[in-house]
Formats: sequence, C-alpha cells, structure tokens
Amino acid sequence: MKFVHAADIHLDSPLRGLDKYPGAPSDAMRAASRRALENLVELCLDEAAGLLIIAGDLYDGTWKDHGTGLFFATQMARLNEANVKVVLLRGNHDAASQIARNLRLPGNVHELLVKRPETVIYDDLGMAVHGQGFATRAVTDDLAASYPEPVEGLLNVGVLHTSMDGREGHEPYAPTTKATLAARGYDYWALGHVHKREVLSRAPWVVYPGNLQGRHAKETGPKGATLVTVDGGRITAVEARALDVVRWAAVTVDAAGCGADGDVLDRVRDALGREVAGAEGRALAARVTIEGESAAHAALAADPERFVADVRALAADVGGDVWIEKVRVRTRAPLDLAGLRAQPDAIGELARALDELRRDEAGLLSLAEALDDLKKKLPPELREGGDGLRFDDPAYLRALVDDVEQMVLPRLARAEPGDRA
Amino acid sequence: MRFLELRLIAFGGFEGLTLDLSAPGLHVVLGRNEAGKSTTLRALTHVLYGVPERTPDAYRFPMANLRIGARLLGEDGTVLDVVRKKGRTKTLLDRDDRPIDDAPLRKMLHGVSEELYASSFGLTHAALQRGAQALLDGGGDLGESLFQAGLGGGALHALLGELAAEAERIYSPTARNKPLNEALRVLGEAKKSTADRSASHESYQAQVEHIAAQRARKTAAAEERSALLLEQKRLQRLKGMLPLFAKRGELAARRAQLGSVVVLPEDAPRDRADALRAHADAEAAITRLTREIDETTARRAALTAPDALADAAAELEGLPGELALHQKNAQELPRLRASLEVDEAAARDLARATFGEAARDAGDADASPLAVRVDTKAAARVRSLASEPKRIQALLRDAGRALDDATALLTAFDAAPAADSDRVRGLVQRLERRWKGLGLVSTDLSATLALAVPTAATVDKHERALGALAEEARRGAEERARVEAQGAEVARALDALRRAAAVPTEADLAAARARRDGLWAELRADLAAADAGGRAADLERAIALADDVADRLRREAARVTRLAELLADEAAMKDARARAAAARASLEAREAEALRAWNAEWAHAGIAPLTPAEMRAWLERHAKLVEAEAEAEDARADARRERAAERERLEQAVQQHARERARCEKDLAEWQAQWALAVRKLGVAGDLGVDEALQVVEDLAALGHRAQAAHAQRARVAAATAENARIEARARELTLRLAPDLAALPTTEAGQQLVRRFDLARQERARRAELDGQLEDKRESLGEQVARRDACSKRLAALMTTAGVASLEGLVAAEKRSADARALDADDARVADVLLAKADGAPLGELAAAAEATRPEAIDARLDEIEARLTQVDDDLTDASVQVDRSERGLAALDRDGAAAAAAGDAQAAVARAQALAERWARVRLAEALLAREILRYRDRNQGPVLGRASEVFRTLTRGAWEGLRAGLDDGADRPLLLASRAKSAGGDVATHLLSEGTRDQVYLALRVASLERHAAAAGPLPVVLDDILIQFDDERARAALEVLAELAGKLQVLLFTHHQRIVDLARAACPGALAVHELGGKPGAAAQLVLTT
Repeated sequence: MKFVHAADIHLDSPLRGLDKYPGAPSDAMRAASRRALENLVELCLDEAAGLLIIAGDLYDGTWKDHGTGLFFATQMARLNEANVKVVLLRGNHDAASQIARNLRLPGNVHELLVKRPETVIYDDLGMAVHGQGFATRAVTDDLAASYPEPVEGLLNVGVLHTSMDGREGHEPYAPTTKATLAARGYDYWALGHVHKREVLSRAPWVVYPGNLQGRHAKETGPKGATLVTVDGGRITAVEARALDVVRWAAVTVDAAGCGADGDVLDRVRDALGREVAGAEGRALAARVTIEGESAAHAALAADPERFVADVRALAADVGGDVWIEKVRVRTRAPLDLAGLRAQPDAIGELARALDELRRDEAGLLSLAEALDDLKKKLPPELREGGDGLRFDDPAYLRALVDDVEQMVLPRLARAEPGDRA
Repeated sequence: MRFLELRLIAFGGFEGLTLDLSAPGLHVVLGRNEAGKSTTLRALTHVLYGVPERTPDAYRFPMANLRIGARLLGEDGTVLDVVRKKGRTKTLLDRDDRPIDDAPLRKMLHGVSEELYASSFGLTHAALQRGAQALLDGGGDLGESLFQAGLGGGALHALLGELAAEAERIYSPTARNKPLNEALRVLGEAKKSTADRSASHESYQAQVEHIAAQRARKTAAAEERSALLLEQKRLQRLKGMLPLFAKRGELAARRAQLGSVVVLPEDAPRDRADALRAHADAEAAITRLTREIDETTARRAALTAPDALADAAAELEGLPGELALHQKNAQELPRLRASLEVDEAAARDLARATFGEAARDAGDADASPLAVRVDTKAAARVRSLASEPKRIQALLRDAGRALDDATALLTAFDAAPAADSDRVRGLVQRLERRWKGLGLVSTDLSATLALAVPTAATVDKHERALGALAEEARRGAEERARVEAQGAEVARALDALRRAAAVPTEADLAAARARRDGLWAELRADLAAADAGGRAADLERAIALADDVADRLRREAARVTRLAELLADEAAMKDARARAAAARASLEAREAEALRAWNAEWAHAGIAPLTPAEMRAWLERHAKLVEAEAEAEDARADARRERAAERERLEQAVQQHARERARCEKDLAEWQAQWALAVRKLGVAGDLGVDEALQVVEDLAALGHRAQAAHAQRARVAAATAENARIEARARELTLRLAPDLAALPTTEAGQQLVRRFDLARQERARRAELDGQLEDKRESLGEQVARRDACSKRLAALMTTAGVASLEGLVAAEKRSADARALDADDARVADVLLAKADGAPLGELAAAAEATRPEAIDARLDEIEARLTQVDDDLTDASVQVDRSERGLAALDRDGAAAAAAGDAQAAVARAQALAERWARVRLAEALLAREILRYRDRNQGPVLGRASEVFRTLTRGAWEGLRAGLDDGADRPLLLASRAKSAGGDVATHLLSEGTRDQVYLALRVASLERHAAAAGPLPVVLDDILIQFDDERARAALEVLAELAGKLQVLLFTHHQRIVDLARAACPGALAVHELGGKPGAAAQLVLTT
C-alpha cells in the first residue's frame, strides 16, 4: 500500500517576478500550479496509492476565484473514480480562504475538523489519520499536543500544518516540537507550511514534503510530494517525487577576471546550461546574479538593459524553456575605494560622502526624499515581499547606495577616453 | 613627489634615452611629429603604475625587454631609483633588474590610482576644451564648475545629464507611456482583470443554491407524479371492474330463483343413460345365447361313427403306403429279372478272356469272380512301383554329375595359387598414395610410419603462441598505419591552415595593436594641432569599438584553437610512432624465440616444420598413413581366413555327392526285389515287364466292375419279391381283426377299404370335440350377461337415491335443475376470476365495497383531474431537470481554465517589470540627488580658497582684461553662478557660460590650476603633465599661461609636452631662468637625443 503526502499547493497562485519579454517561454509557465496538481494526481494513479494527504495551504488565502476550487474538485473526482481517498486539512491560508469554506468536494475527500482533533479510520488501507485544521488564520497553540491516542493495529498518521519550533521565513503557526510529535506514538507525521522539503525525523517519520511548485526565485530546486510505501503495517520507503512544472534556479556568476561583458555572457551561458540540464526537461525560471570585482563592470553598469537583453537572448539559445526572471548586476569596478576616500579633492569628498551615508540613517532618509515622486504611487504589490521597494527602509536604501557608488565613482575617477596623454 | 629623471631604457622607438627632470621650474618637452612625444608621455605614467597588457610601445623591443626607469624625489627628501618592466607581477625593479617592493613608490603617490592620476594630474588640450565646454553646458553653475575643475578629467556634467535623462526616460509622475508608468498601469489593469475573471463567492454560492433548489423541486415533482400515477391506475382499474360487479349481482339473483337444488355430478345424466342402455343390451344377449345353446346341443347328437376304429390309428400306421409299394413292385419285377440275366453273361465272357481256364466259375451266382482271382492290393502295389525305376535312375545320374563337378572344383582350387583381393590391393594403393603425399620426409614407408612426431596439443600451443604474435604484429601494423594516416591528416590540416594564411597568435595581435596605437597617438596629436581633436576623438572611439567587435569575433574564431590542437596532435603523433616502432622491435624478438621453440619440437623427427597450421595438416596426413597401413594389414588377414573356409566347403561338397550316388544305387536294387514280389502276387504266371504288368492290372479292374453290377441286380430282384409277401400278410391280419366283414375281398382291396373306414371315424370324433367347446363358451357368456343386467338395475337405483327421487322421470327433472345451477355458478366464478385478475392483489371485498360506494361519473371526473395535473407535473419535472443541468454547467463554467490565475500571473509580470524599473529609477535618482548635494557641499567648502586663487590666475591669464572670477546669482533665480568680473566700463560681469570660447578655456585653466595647488597643499604634490594645452592660445595668452605654469611649477612639478617650437620660444621669453626645455629628436626608432636648454 502506498500513500502520497503533499502540502502547500497554493493552487493558482501565480509565479512571481517573471517579467514578460519577447522570447520568454510564457506558455510553458502558464498555470504551473494546476499542471503540478495534475502531476500529483497522476502520481497517485500511477503508483496506485490508496490515500492522498494534503497537509494544508491548498489555496492562497487572498485568492477569490472559485474556479480554482472547481478545478481542484475536478482533480479529486479523478481520484474518486480510481477509489483513491483524500484527506486534507486547512492551513493558515485555507483558514482565510473563502473557497475552502464553501467548496463542494467529491465523496472521497475528507476535510479534517478545525474545532477539535479528529481521527479518520481507513480500515481497507489499515490506516488511522489524525489531524486538526486551522480555524483561523493565526493559530498559535500547539495543536499536536492534544491529538488523539494512536489506534492499535493500524498505521497511525498525524497531519499537521505547523512551523514546528520556528522556520526561517515562515509564520510561527501551531508551534510544536519533535519531542511532542514523537510522544504521540504515531508512525508518520505529515506536515505542511514550510515550503522547503525536510525530513525532520525517521523514527517516527516527520516530513515536510515542501511545496508542490516553486513560486518565486527563492524557492529553488525540485519541488513535489512525498511517496510513502507501507508493507505489513510498517513504513518501508519514503521518497521525494518531483512534480513541479517550472524549476526555479539561482544562477550566480563571478565576473572576476572577465575583461568584457562578452566574457561574462560566456560564463552565464555555461551556468545556465548546467541548470537547464538539472531541470530534467522542465521549464526553468532563473535569477542571474553577476558579482565580483571585474573590469567588465563599466560595460555592465553603462547599459544594464542591453546586458539583460543579451542574457535573455542567450537563454533562448541554451536549449529548453528558460525564463530569465531577473539579472542582478552586483559587480564592482576595480576601484581602490580606500585610496579614493583618502583624496583631498572633489572625488575624495564624493567617495567619503557615499561611505558616510551608509552610517547616516537620517542622511539616507533625507536623500530618499528624491524618490517621493514614485513612492506615493507605488501599489502595495511593489512594496511587499523580498524584492519589495522599501524606499523608507534604511537597509534597503543602503543597498541602493552601494549601487550608486558603483555607478558614480568609476565614471568620475577616470579621464574620458581621449583625454589621456 | 617629482621626477628627477626619466629613462626610456628600451621603450617604443627609444633606447637609452634619459630626460633629466631634476631642475626646478617649468619643464617643456618638445617633440615634433613622429619624434616620440606620446611614447614619452606614456612612459611617465607607466613607470609609476606599470605597463598595460596592451601597449603600442613594444614594436621595437619585445614585450619582455621593455624597460623604463625613473629617479623620483619624495617630499621627505627620499630618492627612489626604479626600473619598470612589462608584466603582471613584480614589475618594479632596481637598476640591476632585481624586483623590489613597490610600497615606497605607492607611498609617494599618496594612494592616487592610475585612473585618478590621469584625470586629476594630466591635462590635454582636449580635456581643457571639454572642461571649458562643461562650463558652457553647466550654464555657469558655480558648484558644478568648481566640482568639475576639482575632478579634473571626470565627466561630471555628462554623467549628470545621463542620470537625469535616464530617470526621465524611465518615469515621471505625470507621464503615461514611460516604461514605469506603463508597467504600473498594466499592473492596475491586470489586477482588475484578475478580479473580473475570478468566479466570486456569490456567483458560486448562487449557482450551488440554485442547483439544490432545483434538485428539491425535481424530487417533489417526481414524488407527486408517482402518487398521481398510482391513483390514476387505481381508478382506471375500479372503473373497469364496475360492470363485472353488476354481472355478479344478476347471476346471484338467478341462482336464488332456482331454490334448493341438489347439484348432481356433471356426468350424472350420462351415467343414467349408460345404465339404461347396458341393461337393455344384457337382456338381448341373454335371449340370443339361450337359443344358440339349444341348436348346438342338437348338432352334437347327430354324430355317430364308432370311436373304436378311430382308436386303431397306431395299428394302421403306414398301411396305405405299403399297399401302394406292393402295387409298384408287382409291376417292376419282370423287367428286373430280364436285365440280370444280360449282366451275368457279359461277366463270364470277360473272365474267360483274362484268366482262360481259370475263369470257369465266373458265372457262378453265389461267388464273385474277383473275390477268387483279383488281389487289388497287389494291383495297386504294381502301379505304385511301376514309376520308381525312372526316378531312381535320374537321381543316380544327377548324383554322379554333381560328384564329378565337385571333384573338379576342388582340384582346380588346389591347383590355383592364393592372390590378393581387390580390397587389399586398393588399400595398399591408398597407403602408397598417402605415403607419397605426406611430404617433408625421405625415409622409407616403415620408417616413416615409425616417426616420433609432436602431438596435436603441442602444435596447438605453438600455433596459439605464433598466432598471438601475428595478431599483435597485425594490430601493430594497423596502429602504425593509423598513426601515419592521422599524422598525414594533421600535417595536411596544418599545411592547409598555414597555407590559408598565417594563423595569428595572441602575440601577433598585441603587436599589431601596439603598432597601430603608437602610430595613431602620434597622428592624433598632429590632428589636434590642426584643430581636429573632436573628430579625432570620435575616430578613436570608433576604432576602440571596431577593436571590441574584432575581439568578439576573434573569440568565436576557431582557427587559433585549431592550430594549437593540430600542433598538439602532431606531437602526439610523433610519440605514437615511437611507441609503435618499439612495440615492433619487441614483437620481432618474441617471434624469433617462438619459431625456434617450434622447430625444436620437430628435431626428433628430423623434419624442418612449416607453420603450425600446415604441420597440423601434415600430422593429420601422417596419422592417416598409419591408419591406412593398419587397415591394409587387416584386409590381408581377412583374405587368408576366407580361402581356408572356401577349401573346406569344396571338400565337403565332394563327400556329400559321393554319399548321394551310393544311396541311389542302393534304392535301385531294393526296387528290383519289390517289383518281382508284387508281380508274383498278381497271380499272373511268368515275369512281367512293367508295361505288361500294368495291362494285366487294367484288365482285372474291368472284370471286377462287370461282376459287381450283376451281383447288385440279383439282390434287388430278391428284395422286391420278399417285400410284397410281407405286405400281403399284414393286410390280411388287420382286415381279419378290424373289419372281418371285408375278409371276403382280395387282400389288397380289403386293406384299402379298411383304410377308408378308419379316416371317417377319426373326422367325426374331432367335430364332437369342437361342438363341446362352443357349448361351454356360450354358457359362460350367458352367466356374464345376467350379472351385467343386475348391476345396471342397481346403478339406476343408486342415482335416484342421490337425486332424492323415486322414478326415472323424477331423476331426469332433477338432472335439469342441477345443470342450471351449475351454469350460474360457473359464470359467477368466471366473473370473479376476471375481477381478481383486475384487482391486482387487492382484496375483492374492499373493491366491491369501493365499487358499491363509487359512482362511475365521479371516477371519470377524478381521472380527468389527474390527467391534467400529470401534464403540469411533467412540465415541472422537465423544467427542473433543465435548470439543474444548466446550473451544473454554469458551475463548471465558473472555472475559466485558470483565466483569473493567468491574469494574476500578468499582474506578477507587471510587478516584476515595475520593480526592476523602479529600482533602476531609484538608483539613478539617488545618484542624481547625491551628486547635486555633493556639488553644493563642495562649493560651500571650496568656494573661498579655490575661487580666490582661480580669480588671481584668471586675471594673470587675461593680462588684466578681466579682474577675476567671483560668485554671483542668476538673474531672477537664486542659483549661484560663476561670473567673470571686469569693470562696468569694460562691459561689466559676465556669467562664465556666456564668455567666448577662448576666455572660457582660460577660466577652466584658472580653476584647474587653483584646484591643483589646493590638492598639492593638502595631500602633497604630484607631477602635473600637460599635453599641448596652449595650441589654441594666441602668443600673448600663451605667454601669460606659461607664466602661470612657471609659477605653478614652484609648488609642484610641471611637465609641458608640445609639438610646437613656438611654445618653446614663448616659454623662453615668458619664464627665463625657470625653464628647462627637452627636445626629442631624430626619427622614430633612432636613439633620441636630449637638447637641454636652460
């Protein structure tokens, strides 16, 4: 007997950061979360799994399209036809979701209670599934602590949406500890909430399957579900199965030693080629970061848009569907900054001023008033998230000042071509 | 720091050129076109900072040999004597070419980078012009002017312009079509589109609820429909039953009218009729049988023949036949007696002919002539022996001939010598053929057969060894051929590559560029002098760009790589050839050893072996030779055995044929004895030959036949006579006993009469018995008919009792009533059955009650109502189904295949684009703001000291035409401007950007000089290198400028490079005593000489 454990499907949640550009493989990326869910259903059918467990965050909390729910119901109906049972619970997102509250689901789907922990017995599978969903968006109690006793003679699985004892980048919901989980005496803990796959323990099994489809540049690498094989009432295999349609990759290229932007492009091509090979035929969404001190900095900084266009063009050549999410140029000119700051003249004063600005929060904020024209018009989507434009955040401004330093000083600390003797 | 000496040890076209720069005051370096001015200028920076990777100055000396030397004096009095070579590391050397630490040098340079040194301490004519142009472009802005002058070469205004343009290009708050504005607008639209394409909770809920409501409506309608149909069916049934209930009522009334009725069995009338008919039949039969009994009894009494005669059947048995035989014998006897006499006479005649006298008794009636005379056994013996002598004599002849033949064969066999058979000859020939075909040996056959030769295994072993070596040799040859072929291919490719065009190397490229750049730099200076500096700079940028393109192309060109690969391949080929040759030598040695071992194996046999494969064939031939010899020997032995056996067989044949002849001779003798005896027994006198004896035997046989015929005839006559006598006696006896009245008749006639009487008596007795049987049967039938008649009477009485009547008439009436009642009951039952069938299981009583209570008109009315209602309900049901179906489809259609998600994706794309643009915009705006702020700060800090000194310099430069420089405000604005001031009478102050080009050059030069002095004061002086900055100045202004420079040279080292003798002349006039002139002479490539003029 096999069962499949998935979580954090965030169905119909769009891929973030993918600016459309001519030649971008937008068709390959379209409806990625739906295709990934279809892959999940195919996995259940191909492996003849008896049960699918979805450990929360099936939907995005703010997402309002009931079409999403209908699509999910259609997929579950496919499992119903093959007599695959589905048990799911609400995560923090689902608790806020109108769709989750109202959707009619086929008979094979059981949604665990939110008011108290519940046990569902699947005699034909020899399984007892325990769990409790989120009644509200923010549940800060240790739900697992009051989960029911295991059922004698059956394989006991606990389903829980939790941040455990804290996970970076994740809200601290339904906190619990490995000790608490182990004390329940279950065979397998099917966790959800954390988007990165992680096996916390093997006795009992405590598993985050990760999300089904990476949604942005920070969710890199294979994404999918966990396939669990049970033999004679005992778990004999726990394997990760990649089901993602779009693979996210962070491609970092060190431009040190590159004399010209062409050399940098060569390195980008090589790095992208490796990622494309690793994506096993999937579409690739790549964030390209160029870093290091390089003579190519001047060329990259002089016309960043052309460089981005070059990277996108070569991505189209690398083979496979590659979408360049972003090209971050973090190179530095081969400048002796300390030497510059020591100069008693105009350039020295400018270099010192830039350096001092990093430590001068008030100065930063005052300088940032130059951005007010735009700040007022920024919609929340542009201000939020890891890539959000936080014009009143000194840390964010400091990073901008780093860029400005690299834009300005190299230009002013050298003679114009032709002026040199 | 200042230069005490610059040495172009081996650099550009120079070798061993030394510029002594130790003198105080202004140094002017004059280098006419092609004299190496540019090379010298580059040498100044390179000695301080190193020779760049790409240099135009390596055309005379190889890169590695380039050397520039300098002696430098630090502010603290330290003197550094250094030599710079080209390279990547440790390029700073002492005068003995030993690497030295560059820290002291870096300390002297105060942390000023090469780039910064070039932009801050170098000033070319072009840079001077650009600075002046920046004053114009900057609208005379005080801060920008001061900052630009403070920067030196850095293109401040251009950068400011680019930043502003970039920010403006990306975004402005009021624009619509700029990229960021556009992205924000697209984002707003995508968000709206997401909301529009989302199936809302309300629409979803409304659909779900509508579906539920319509489902409920459908269920209710279906239920009502079922109920209506049930009622309709019930009423229609009831309606159909009403006439039947009426019919039953009528039948019940008629039955009541019949009153009390004994219902007789249905077949009672038939029973009654049957009984009456049987009774009448019985009476008739009784009458007939009584009459027949009387008649039969009378016929019995009429039969009178006596039984006694009939009983004598046994005694009369056979009598009629005997009487017939008697009559036949009496008729034949006379003919038989006559025939007997003829036969006896013939027999006597024959006997006399055969035996002569001895035949006198042949006619004797009491004795057969053969019983006395003929011995039949003897006759048979004679016939049997008669054929023997011919057979025995034939056998005797055969035996004699066979004996002769066998004896002859044996004699011939013994006389003939033994010879080899064909097989033996064939085998021996094969043996000889094989011996001759063996080869390699010259010994005779027996010695050859006895040769000690190696075994097949030994040969195999050597063959494997030699074969492996041969295979190795073949592979070696192949490898050598492959190496040769590849070598040829590499050589061909190399040749082709070299023939096509010399393949450039990195070194070629660097040299070509260096040469071009050197030439260009010099040419450019000339062009600058000809006031074509701007276009020259453009051309230079174009060349740089073309260079860049060439680089990119070069990267993609494979030929260089190909050449390197081919050279590597060529080297590899040489190695491969050497390896192949070594392998071949080793192989040949091992082959020789293997051959020696092989030959040794054959030494015993005295054979010089061929290859193992050939010797294996030889060995096989040798083995076959040995095998053939053995086979021939076997064949010879076989032949010897066969000859002995043949002789024995011949001897046995001779003996057997001799025995056979002896046996035939004995048989002949025995026959002769037996023959004599048999002839004697015939009873014929004398010795008879075979033919005679056989004739006697024939005659005796004929006589016998005749005598036998006569004897038989005589016996037949006697028998017939005796028979007739016996028959007559029996007839007489029977007549006397049974019918004495016939005794008077002749015997045979009486007998016939007796037989006729007997037949009659027997017939009458049979008839009587038949009539007795008939009487008995009829009496029995009579009894039966009487019993039958009585039974019928009893049955009729019983029927009447059942019907409760006393007479037959009463019985018939009762039967009629019973039949009427039965018919009514049956009708009622039929109607009841129909009702039951229609009732469909409902109790009839209830239905009857309902029928009783219901009027037919009411039923019809209700049925009409139901029909009408059913139509409505059906419509309702259909409508509800359609609604459910439509709503289900509507619900499914709410999911528009992720259209909302796609729109959300579009929104995310817009977010990504907007974020990228906004970030770029923010960086540019921040840079802009920061620069603006820093320009202001710089102005505030440096306005006083720099502007004051620049003002003085400007006055000097303009020979007092302008009083100086000062800060002032823009008309109508509060922007501080840099103004050139002069007396109102002379025209008043003028904003610097409004000055003439020449004056603006002077303003910028004044600002630069002031900034350099300030820098030198703050951080220690570095040598200033000026490149023909005065070529646009007229003599007067140039002189003024040279005075300023001479004054500046008092604070830091000033090196002025020029192409123009005029400048040297002006300098000599302007600053006598504070000037050193160096002239670079000769042609490129020739050693330069220094003309020092102080």
